[in-house]
Amino acid sequence: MTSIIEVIDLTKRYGAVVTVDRVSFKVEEHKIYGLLGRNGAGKTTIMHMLTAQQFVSSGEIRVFGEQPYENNNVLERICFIKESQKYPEHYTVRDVLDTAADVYRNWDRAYAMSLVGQFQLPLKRQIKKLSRGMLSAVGIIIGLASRAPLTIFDEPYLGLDAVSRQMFYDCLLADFAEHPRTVLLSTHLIDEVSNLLEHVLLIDGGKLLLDEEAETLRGRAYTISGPKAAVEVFASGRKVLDSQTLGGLTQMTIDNGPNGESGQDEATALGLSVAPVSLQQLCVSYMKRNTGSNKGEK
Amino acid sequence: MNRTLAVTRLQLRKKLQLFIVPWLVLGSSFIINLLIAFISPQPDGEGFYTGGIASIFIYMMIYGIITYVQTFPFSLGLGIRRSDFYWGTALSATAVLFMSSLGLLLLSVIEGIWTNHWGVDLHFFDLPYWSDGPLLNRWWVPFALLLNLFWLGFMIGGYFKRFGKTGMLAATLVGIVVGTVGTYVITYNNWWPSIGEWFANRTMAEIALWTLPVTFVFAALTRLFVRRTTV
Amino acid sequence: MGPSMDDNRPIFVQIAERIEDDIIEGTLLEETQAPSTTHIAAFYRINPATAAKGVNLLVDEGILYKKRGIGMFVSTGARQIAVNKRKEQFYEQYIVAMIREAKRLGITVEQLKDMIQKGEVNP
Repeated sequence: MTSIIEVIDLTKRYGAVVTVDRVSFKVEEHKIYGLLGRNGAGKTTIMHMLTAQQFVSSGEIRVFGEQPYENNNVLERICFIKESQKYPEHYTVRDVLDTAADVYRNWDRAYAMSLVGQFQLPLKRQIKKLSRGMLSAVGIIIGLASRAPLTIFDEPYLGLDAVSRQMFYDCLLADFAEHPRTVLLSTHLIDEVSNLLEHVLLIDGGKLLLDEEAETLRGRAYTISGPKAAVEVFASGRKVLDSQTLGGLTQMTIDNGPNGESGQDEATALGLSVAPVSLQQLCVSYMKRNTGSNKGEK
Repeated sequence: MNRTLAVTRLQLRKKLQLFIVPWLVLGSSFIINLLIAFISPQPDGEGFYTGGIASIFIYMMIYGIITYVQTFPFSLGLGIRRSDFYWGTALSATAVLFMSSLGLLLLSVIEGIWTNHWGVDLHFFDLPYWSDGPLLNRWWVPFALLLNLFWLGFMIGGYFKRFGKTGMLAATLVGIVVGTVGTYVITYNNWWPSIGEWFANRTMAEIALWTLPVTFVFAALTRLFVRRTTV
Repeated sequence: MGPSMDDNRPIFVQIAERIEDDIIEGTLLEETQAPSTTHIAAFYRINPATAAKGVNLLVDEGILYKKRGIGMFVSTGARQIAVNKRKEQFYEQYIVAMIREAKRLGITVEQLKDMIQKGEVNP
């Protein structure tokens, strides 16, 4: 498997504030990666650094094996769609698509036009007159029709209703199946996209909390609830992500770990109530722990 | 497609703003002056002189600022290299300014040579000193000055994008200080007459030539700014 | 979201199960073509790699096999393999749980047997 992206100890500092803290990961080709986390967690900064739109404070970035800064070998193979993209005054939807056609080597005009029809975009309307949802649709269309070997979507669905979002996911999956590429999808709507992802990168407070195959994360964590004593006995020696007590009833979220034995059956046998934990809940638990430990540090 | 060319096309896409609007602005100034000249004829031989032509020069400077501020983030967001943006825009600007100065040449010829100042002795495009010398100057002088003003605007845009509002504030303050101190020094040393004399002794074509190194400095500084500008 | 997946378990396992279900029910017959990975991915709205993983699981178990250039087919004997697998799971999932719950409620094995017979007569 070729590493499309390799990031080593990537750090971004603004004065005394560290927004990306020694993050290291690899992105392999032809997979859909989820870059998950809260707003302000550092995801967008990382993506800006990957595309040389922002400079690295320390650490290394290699995309397609090379440094991205001012490097067309790299940049011509990337399409980065972000919700904060600015467009020139008086540019229409058509103007933007024409520009994209000039810029992206693999641009598929027929595909772009069919997407325009699907999302019902008015080609002749000025960008500044588009609703937020339509503006997002423009970005999505560019991202999809670019067929860029590395396509990065940063929360591309702002203003889109659930139906249109699902349309985006469907289009993405369909095109990905037929024309494989490497996709990085950044979002805080984890449950919506969790089935699309092959690999999860969870970022919180500038740190990388999870770097796993999505399938290994599913079913890896569970909540148990029952009498306080019984729950605590069960939980000892296990990784507890979250714990809550109400009266005599305690609820804990337990993580089996990547290679850990499945504890669910044992818990059921002990008479504890076991419930599944979705990918989103798992991520939320990890983020809560991270915030907790950050507070501890201060 | 070569990305530098992609930027050039990006810049030239909005023909209205590039070609129609500046000429509309200039044209309306011209029409107004024409009407005034028509309504209130001057005593024989004096002619009606106006600096209305300056509008297109100011427009190009502002256009330089706006172009940078609006198209740079767009370009960067599309993954276009900063140098491709720089050279692509330089190319498009040169083409536009070349055409514009040809237009000014044509109009000054129509005014001064063909229509005898529009029949109302209006001196709008064909002005003394400004249009002196061979016909080529009537293209060259506007071209050099338009280039200078465009790059001044483009540089200001580039500076703003690089250093932000704080940078602009700092630059303005520095500008005021330098301007004040400089004016004081010049006045104190009584250099104004010599400066005035220097300019008076030069033809417009020569002054236009002198703007080239200044334009070059603007362009070089812009290049420096763009290299380190982030999103 | 497509036809719902369990949060509890890896999706590829659930995909394999659904194909097995079809084979056991007789909706998907032996020596006929199984749905393609792309098709599965689109239908359930999941990543194609996940769908492929599910299919590969069935290939490993001998339930599906690949015909070069055409696609995935249901093996001869696949139904039996699937049923056997489910029988084992049945024991773990239902019998063990039933006995545990019965113990909790104080139901004897004899009473369980009576209950089962009663259940068979009046479903």
